[in-house]
Amino acid sequence: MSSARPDRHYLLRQRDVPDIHQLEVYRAHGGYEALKQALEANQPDQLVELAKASGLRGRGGAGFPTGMKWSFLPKDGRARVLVINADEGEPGTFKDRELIEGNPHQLIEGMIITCFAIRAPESYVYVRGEFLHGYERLTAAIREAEAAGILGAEVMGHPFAHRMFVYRGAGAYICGEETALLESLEGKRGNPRSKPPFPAVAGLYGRPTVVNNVETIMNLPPLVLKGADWYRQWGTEKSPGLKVMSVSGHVNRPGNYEVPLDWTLAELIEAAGGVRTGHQVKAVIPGGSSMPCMPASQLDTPIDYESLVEAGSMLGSGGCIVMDDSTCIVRAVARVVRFYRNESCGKCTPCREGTYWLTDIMDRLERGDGEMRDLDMLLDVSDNINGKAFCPLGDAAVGFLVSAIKHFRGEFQEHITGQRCPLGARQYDTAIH
Amino acid sequence: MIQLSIDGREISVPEGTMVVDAAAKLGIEIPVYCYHQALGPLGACRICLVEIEKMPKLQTACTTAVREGMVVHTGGPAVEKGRQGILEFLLINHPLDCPVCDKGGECFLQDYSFWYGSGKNRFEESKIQRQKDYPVSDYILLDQERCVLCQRCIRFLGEYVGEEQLMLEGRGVHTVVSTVEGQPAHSPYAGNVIDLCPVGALLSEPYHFKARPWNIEREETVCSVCPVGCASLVTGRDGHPVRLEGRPQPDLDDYGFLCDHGRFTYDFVNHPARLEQAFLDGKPASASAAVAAVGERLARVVEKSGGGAVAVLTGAVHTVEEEWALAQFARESIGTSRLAVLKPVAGDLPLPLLGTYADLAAATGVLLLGADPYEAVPVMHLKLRAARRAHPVAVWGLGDRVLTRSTLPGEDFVAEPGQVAARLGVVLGGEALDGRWAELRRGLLETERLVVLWDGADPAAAALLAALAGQRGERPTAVLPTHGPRNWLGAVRAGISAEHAAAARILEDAAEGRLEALILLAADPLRDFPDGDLAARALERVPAVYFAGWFAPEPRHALSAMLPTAAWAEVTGTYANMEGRLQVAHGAAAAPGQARPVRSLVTALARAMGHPLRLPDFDPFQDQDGDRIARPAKQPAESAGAPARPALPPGEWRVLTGDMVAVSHPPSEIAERTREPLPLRLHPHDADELGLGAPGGLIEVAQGERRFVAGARRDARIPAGRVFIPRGLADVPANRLDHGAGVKIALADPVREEVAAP
Amino acid sequence: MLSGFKAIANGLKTTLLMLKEPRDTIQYPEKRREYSPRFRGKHMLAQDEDGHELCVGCGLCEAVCPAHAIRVVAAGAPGSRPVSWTERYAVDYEVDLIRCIFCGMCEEACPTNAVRLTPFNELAAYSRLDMVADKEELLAPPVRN
Repeated sequence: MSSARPDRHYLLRQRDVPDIHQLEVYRAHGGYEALKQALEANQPDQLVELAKASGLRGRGGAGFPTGMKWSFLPKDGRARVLVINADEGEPGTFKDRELIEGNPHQLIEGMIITCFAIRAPESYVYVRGEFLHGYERLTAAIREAEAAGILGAEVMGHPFAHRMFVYRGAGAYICGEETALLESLEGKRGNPRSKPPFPAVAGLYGRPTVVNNVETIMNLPPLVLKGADWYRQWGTEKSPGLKVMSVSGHVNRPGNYEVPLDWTLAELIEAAGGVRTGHQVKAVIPGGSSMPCMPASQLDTPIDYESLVEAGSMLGSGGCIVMDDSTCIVRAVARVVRFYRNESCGKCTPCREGTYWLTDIMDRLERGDGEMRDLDMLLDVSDNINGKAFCPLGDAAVGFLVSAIKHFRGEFQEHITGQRCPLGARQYDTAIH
Repeated sequence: MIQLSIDGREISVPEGTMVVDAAAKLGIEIPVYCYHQALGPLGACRICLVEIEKMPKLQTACTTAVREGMVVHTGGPAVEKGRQGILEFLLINHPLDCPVCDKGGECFLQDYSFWYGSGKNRFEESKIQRQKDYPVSDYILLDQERCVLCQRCIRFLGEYVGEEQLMLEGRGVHTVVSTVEGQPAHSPYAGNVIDLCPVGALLSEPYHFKARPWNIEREETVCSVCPVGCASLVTGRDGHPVRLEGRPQPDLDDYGFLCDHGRFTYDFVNHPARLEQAFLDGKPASASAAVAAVGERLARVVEKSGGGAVAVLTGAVHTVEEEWALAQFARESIGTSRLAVLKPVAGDLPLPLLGTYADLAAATGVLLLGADPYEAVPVMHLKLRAARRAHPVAVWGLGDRVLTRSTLPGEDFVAEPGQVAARLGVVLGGEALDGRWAELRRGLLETERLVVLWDGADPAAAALLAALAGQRGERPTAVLPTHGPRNWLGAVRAGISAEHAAAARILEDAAEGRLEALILLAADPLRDFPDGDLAARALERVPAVYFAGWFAPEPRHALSAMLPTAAWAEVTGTYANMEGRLQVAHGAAAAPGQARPVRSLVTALARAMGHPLRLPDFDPFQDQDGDRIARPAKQPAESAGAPARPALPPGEWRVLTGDMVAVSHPPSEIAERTREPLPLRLHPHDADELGLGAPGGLIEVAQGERRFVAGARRDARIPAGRVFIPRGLADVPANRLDHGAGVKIALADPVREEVAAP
Repeated sequence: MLSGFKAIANGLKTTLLMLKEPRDTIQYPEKRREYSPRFRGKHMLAQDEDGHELCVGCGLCEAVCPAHAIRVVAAGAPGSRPVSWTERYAVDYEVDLIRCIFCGMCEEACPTNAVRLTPFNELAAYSRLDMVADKEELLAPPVRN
């Protein structure tokens, strides 16, 4: 049932073509052909239709259909703007980093195609502050493109003028949330904005704005060249195409893997060299630390958006974290919950105070000072956060916790009754994290 | 209109209304912390969770706009659990020090915890320690531990006022409210954050530990400091006012914001300078002896020379009822028609043009005619900003200095000193105008709804305003006078003339020896009358000056008697604000010493004169139009110009003057801490040439033989070659200077000043 | 006459019989009764072991007092707060013992357990003013004199 892996990379092209981050190498291997073709056809609306027909969905986490997002822009003549979300802060996800560092021109090409499709004269890339190398690669690539007449007052001879700006974040996870990103980009405190108005209506500086993920946009050049049907040969009806999955944790070869969206988790782990020798898979988080985990019994779940939701988790940004049987799940949860406590922006009550409380309880549990009633209290506090926070960060903070208690309640109870970790894991140093 | 159902009750509200406001219309209270109608939705506190059918999750009522056919439930198990959860979260890092907290008893965190909370505490871990009693400004204390981070204070100052002086610092659970770069929040509107704070995080320093909600009198009143007459609540404890708070008036679309000049000067009634004791011929006297003596002397004058030999000037700060009693006393007991309001400006507003705050809220164009609302009537500045937030409003400043500012941007037209009305005359005249002035003419004549904020300084402007209204034809024109005194329109309602000429005639009569006695009710002609020299001549010549009021004017030896009267917050009565609206203010404090209400004072004086005064019933609302004072119908307009000023010899400076509430408010020990040490203003270039450093220093202002020394500040809004002197400043009385002639300015002699300094 | 003598003897008999019974009265003030520790007598303001006043001057006792016998004036604790355990204290605290009905509601309302009613009940004084206990008096636990 699973489709075969393509013989070559379409996104992680640097794996096949060394030095493709350089303009001449990129052009020598068919770079900017798609843009040229799009400009020559000169029918922006068809590009939007193409994106819709391909079924391409946002790769940043929510999986919103890309073409539909573009078509939400109001047709009132205001200047539109494209913002690329490269603030990849999700623990377990590292695909955008490799894509920007290795293949920046494909991002630029995809951005120009998108901007041509939505008629945006300006675009912004918000790069995570820690991605210094990627930032430098991307800036250098933009310089090259400007020098080559691909960006500027004319784009490859077409009167469509386009300017591109790159900004570095200052190290806040919340700025990966699109409205907080826009606030940060405007120079304000990175707190999420109230929706409505949605960014499509009033986004960056109040202009109609499309916010897309790096990987989403990088799908466009091959899509323009080869068409929607080509793209749909992989994946399922509702989740077509290829996805770069970041596999980390207890696998033999952690890294990014560009795979069709109808593969199962087991196949993905196999592609990453299988689980550590001598160990069994205990749990998998398929979509980065914000998503609920799945026990080993669910490894044959396909990784498309719908199947994972059915299995009680989500594809998210594709950060597949594999935990083998040596993992103390209580410690893992404590670590993840603390991450969200540190990264909560502080705007809304449940997320700000709830993550603080959860962290304290988890620390106590891990220390061996927990009580049985703490488990139900954890679930109750999580329920008071879930769905009540201002932005998805609150839900993200409790996803792993709630699923871990559901699937591994016994291990939590052992921590309480034995007053220590049954696996002998040491408590991590909270002074550092 | 949108039809929806809340808790099974149908209501229809305008599109864009938030669910929380729609529920409020039905009388259903949804708890809120971060939401405030003036600031709009934020969605931070999450306490307003409600259940909306066909929506999977609970929704925040403050960020959800109503939709047709929406079915909202503000109760039920899911909502109750959600609220309980939020309150539990809010309390985990809250110090729970209610017995110590000033807000205890009037705190929404207490109330909501009581009404909606679970009553249990499951949090066992340690609370985060934060800064307590951190001074945000001279008047405001911040307790970061009690803060629920609703951001009302930050958004009010940043968005509503436009002065970003508070901000969020830190991230996540370590987020706190703090000042920007440690600078105090010195905005004159900063005190409103005390009212806005739903919990005990932002506290009034002067009220700190002073009282509790159960041992105070909290009465509805209106602010007494400037003619805006902001609705407020006065808190009295043990007979003293200890706090002033804003009072929202939903039916007038007023959110109850005050300025700090009004909010923190309530203690003037207990100021050491307050007249609490009667004086007769400079010596303390018992109240009855002083009243008997004054009455006897007045009776003698009336017997000898007739009532016309006595004149009465009122400072119009007492209630309408008291001003009316004074007028009755003057007419019936003394038998004089020499009775007038003492105004600090010479212009007389054409009453038919008197506008309202509603006019301002709906205005499409606003002309600041000589008035700088930020300094003279600060809350008008806020009202103007609120109007601009709602819809576009063109703002023009026409005065002898720059009148717009960064928080109220607009086009400025700077006229020569004393030529403001003349300039307006030119703009309204038929001649061709160049560029900007032509724009101004078009704007003034064509804007849909025009409101003029007029400082009343230039008498010639009155007729021009009438002419402007005439030229605009059907388009509404409204004028709001920004000048004092506080209750001059109330005195007009009481039947006392507020025309400049009336007061001037009285002072001229006195100066020429036609008066035997002058009665001043809280009036200080020397300080307030526009022609200070005339006032001085008058006070010198008139044989007897009887003063009644709160603060006796200098020089006191010129006063034959001083009789203390009860002040604001000590009597219940009516005031009229600058839109002529009558406002009832209740007393919450006891009058100190021998101070008594004017009504009782004048009846006692009348009895002492041997003409007992029988005051008939009087209702200020009697001739009401709504609750505004009666205004005559429109008068035919005639245009007038102002005479041109002669050119000045080189080295001379023009004097500008204007109202500054920071200077003109009554003496207050609380407000003393933010008293402007540098009230005079100079252009920075002029200051450089004088050698006056930043931000300013002492300068000497000289005209002829007169020399005055005061602090001056650099201000780019004052044109070069001019010096701005606020009205009513004791150090440099602007009304004693001839504005037609120039003044000489020099740095004050540092040696002499040092000697003078303690 | 005889019947009169009989009547007196009858009366005296009861008296004489009662002489043998235990006495209900005591020789006050040489002897005094012990009261239950829960007896509600004169108030005191408690201090913690470091000598800090527990009263923060919240005024709840003032609010709850049905006889309006209590007056509290609060202020910020002076200096580095040597008198109070927190930033606020009662600068003035008065109980009018003539008005007081010893209901104990002040004790119950006190959030810091500062106001306590002692069993002390000897409240006589020569002037009404002496019956108003000020803060200094309340801080020292009442003793017999």
